[in-house]
Amino acid sequence: MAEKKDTEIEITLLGLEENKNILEKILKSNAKIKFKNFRLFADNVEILFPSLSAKKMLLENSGSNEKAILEKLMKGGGAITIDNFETSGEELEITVPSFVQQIITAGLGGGMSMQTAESAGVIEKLLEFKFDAAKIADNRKTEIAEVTLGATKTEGGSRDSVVKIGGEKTMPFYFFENPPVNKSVISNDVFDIPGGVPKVVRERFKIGDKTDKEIMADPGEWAKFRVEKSHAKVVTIHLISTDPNVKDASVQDAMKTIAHILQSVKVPIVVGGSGNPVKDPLIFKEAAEMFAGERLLFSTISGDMEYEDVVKACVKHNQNLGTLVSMNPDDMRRLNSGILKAGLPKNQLAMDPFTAGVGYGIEYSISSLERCRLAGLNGEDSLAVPIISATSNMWAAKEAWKKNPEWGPREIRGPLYEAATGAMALLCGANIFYSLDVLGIELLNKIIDSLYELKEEKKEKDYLSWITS
Amino acid sequence: MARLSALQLYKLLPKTNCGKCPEKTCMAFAMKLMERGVKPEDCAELKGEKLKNLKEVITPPVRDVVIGNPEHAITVGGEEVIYRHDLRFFNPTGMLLDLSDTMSEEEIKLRIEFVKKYQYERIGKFLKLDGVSVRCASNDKEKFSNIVKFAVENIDKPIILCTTNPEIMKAGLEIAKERRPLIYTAIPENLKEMFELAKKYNCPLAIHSENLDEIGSMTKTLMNARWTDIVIDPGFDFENLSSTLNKFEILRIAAIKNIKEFSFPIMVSTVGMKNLNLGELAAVSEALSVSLCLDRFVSLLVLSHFSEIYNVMETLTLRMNIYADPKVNPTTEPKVYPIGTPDENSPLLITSNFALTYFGVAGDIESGKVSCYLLVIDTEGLAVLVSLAGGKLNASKIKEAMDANQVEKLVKHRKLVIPGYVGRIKGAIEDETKWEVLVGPQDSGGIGDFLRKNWTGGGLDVKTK
Ligand code: SF4
Repeated sequence: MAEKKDTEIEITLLGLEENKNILEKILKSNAKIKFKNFRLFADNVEILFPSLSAKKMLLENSGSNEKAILEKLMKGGGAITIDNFETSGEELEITVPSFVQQIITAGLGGGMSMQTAESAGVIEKLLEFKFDAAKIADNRKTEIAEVTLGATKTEGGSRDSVVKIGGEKTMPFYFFENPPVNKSVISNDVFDIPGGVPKVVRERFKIGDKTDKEIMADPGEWAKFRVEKSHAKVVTIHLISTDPNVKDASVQDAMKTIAHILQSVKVPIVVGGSGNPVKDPLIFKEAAEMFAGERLLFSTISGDMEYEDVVKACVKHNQNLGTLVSMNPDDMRRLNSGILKAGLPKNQLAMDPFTAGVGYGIEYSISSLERCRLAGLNGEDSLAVPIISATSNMWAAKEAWKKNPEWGPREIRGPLYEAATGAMALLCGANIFYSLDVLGIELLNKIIDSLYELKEEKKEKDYLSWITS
Repeated sequence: MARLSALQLYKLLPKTNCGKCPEKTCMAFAMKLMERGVKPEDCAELKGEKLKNLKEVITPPVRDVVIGNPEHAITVGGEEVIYRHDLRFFNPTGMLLDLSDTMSEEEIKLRIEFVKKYQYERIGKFLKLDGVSVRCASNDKEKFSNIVKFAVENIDKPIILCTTNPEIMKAGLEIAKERRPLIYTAIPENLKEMFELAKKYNCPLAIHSENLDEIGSMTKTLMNARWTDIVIDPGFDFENLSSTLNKFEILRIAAIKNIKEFSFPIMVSTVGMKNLNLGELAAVSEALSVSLCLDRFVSLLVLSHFSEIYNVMETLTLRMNIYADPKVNPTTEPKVYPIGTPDENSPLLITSNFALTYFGVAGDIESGKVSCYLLVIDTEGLAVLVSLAGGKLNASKIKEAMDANQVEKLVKHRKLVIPGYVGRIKGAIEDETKWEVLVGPQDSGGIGDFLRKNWTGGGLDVKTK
């Protein structure tokens, strides 16, 4: 049965501290042990050390006798020959120093887990550990600028309330570095013409006996609906009808719409253009003058627009300006630098590094927003401004609005896609969201609230009750 | 821990270019090693201390833990960065569905079937759940054993066993040991016993505490006993997300900054949310919670809702997005794709080369039952709206693509159909190409109807052979 074999075995020494003791035992002991079910793959024996320092330490701590053996072993990948090595199929019997049992299995075990059951020790008692958050906190160089939306009568505007965004000193929700500053805010979408809102969203445009048609027919009504239904703290009026390819509504029409919105609600207002590179700057400039002192946020200037005049008007009449670049922090920096150079104070600037929806490139947005915010905190002045997330972009994706029984009811699916897209932007630093769906807004607000509130942790730890619930 | 460059890794290889590995040269091997395409053992020449050294050096700051047996396993953790753009996230979060021994047999069957069968196709990939988590809610060893047995017999995906009672856990492990389940969970009170089980059955061990010091104390104790197959559950509180996410962030950042006690993957369960009585918003709230976890370093999740579908669909999609390699845009080759049976009269459409856009548009045209040519423009992998905003899709790009693909030889007419969103640069396209431009619908689902209504040149029908 047991056939004697002159086989050599690879031995692995694990752990720094233990090495010396183990070595001492290796050199002294002569115990006999059995190995079961282990695969032998070594044809050359070496002692492996976890690191060079471990090896050095071992040598230093060894007596002269031991040292001689050790050095011999280490030279040229040196070898240890284990005597009296018996093998019988699956079961091996070897006479080697006893300590080898716990270490040899790790070296010879193969299999998927390098660290195996037998190599592990025992637990006597819980060891102490004290975590110090200061150890991992980063020192940020720059603060994000704080931008104020809206102005009250005493401040030269006509709003009942103002909203501050930005002011962060840390990456989002790293409260171990710094406590929260200004809560991110949802600006509720209003369009100046009714088209383009998915049916599933319209279905929640109801209040009292007003129908979605009635609400959407008048941007003022729509804005009121936002404040009443969703307690909107900010409202965005998107002037899409001014697009030459839509209705080509005039700049003067746009001014009327803005005036109407300012009349209808008393919260701060974001003025959104149509994206047309020629028309938008004209509208922003005109509105800046006409509604002087209101601290509107014009959204947005992109790289293909002439912005000099808009910037001048914003500076003169105390308005805020947003910039848009599609997922390219370098271009974002360039555009913002240009605008700051043109004279806009940093605390009147916000940027939209572009939010794509879940499933439609959100990963690029995550990187884009995070990189902008990180650069901002780490000293890049032109990016140390609040982040805009035009979250309702995601409604372009059919996963959000299409009827499809395989995807579950769209009445909740759509809002989920909107809130989830917003939540991702929130985690990457977004300070203001442009959101569309009533339920989507409710859900995102819930997350914002829960994320910004610093609560005491519950006294009774009931998390684990999920197992028995 | 600073990530080693390919060159630094190269220095740790034999540098002989012996050609025995598929990469043939050591430098190529080093580069592949950095991307985790190969393991140190794959180098034929590397042995002994040098192999060991290399292994030490490439152990990721968040250790990787394998759950399951070699045939059906998931790896969780193994991460190296805080921000995905710094490198990438490697091992997609494991998402397992909750089973309890107090559920009816019918429900358990339904749930297991769902995990086995459900798949959601996106860009040619099938997204699925990863396994089941079996918990002992009854506190009854028999009951628990029965359902563990049922699960083991009916699904071969990875399993988690959940109870804080070591004796019940032992009964479950006895049944499921071949599957190498995750033992959930050790707490300070049972750490010793649970660890003994982990050792005995050679299974990974979860630990739970909501307190970071206590977490560190447990992992430190385990590491001291030379045990590193650990997953940390710091808890999840939907009503206190600030504290919850802070812990996730601290654990990950500390791991990257080499605090060994926290160098393990994070897991949580959102099953407990059902105690919050969220009514019809229960599933959507869970999906949002899962979404937050996916973007905040959680490597393993136990979920409760499945039949609403949208929650599974959204979270699987988001997981795919977050764990995608940021260096690679999923794209389609920019060229002309004939769809249906187009001829010289058929419409010419354009779209972006973002893979998802292309698959979506092509699929919609097919199901719209029309024939046409689809010209895919190189927008650097960005979707239509995004590329338009970023100037990657503009009139001259379109003209360039039309010329390069010689579309004027493909069709006799001179009419181009563009996506609805591109309508705003209609004029510029007409000026640049001198073609007439038809602004199509914003959503590609409407292309069939749109063309039937607005296309007059013929060549629309799909001919059957
Ligand atoms: S097997 Fe190892 S030594 Fe040989 S070429 Fe590959 S990496 Fe280099």
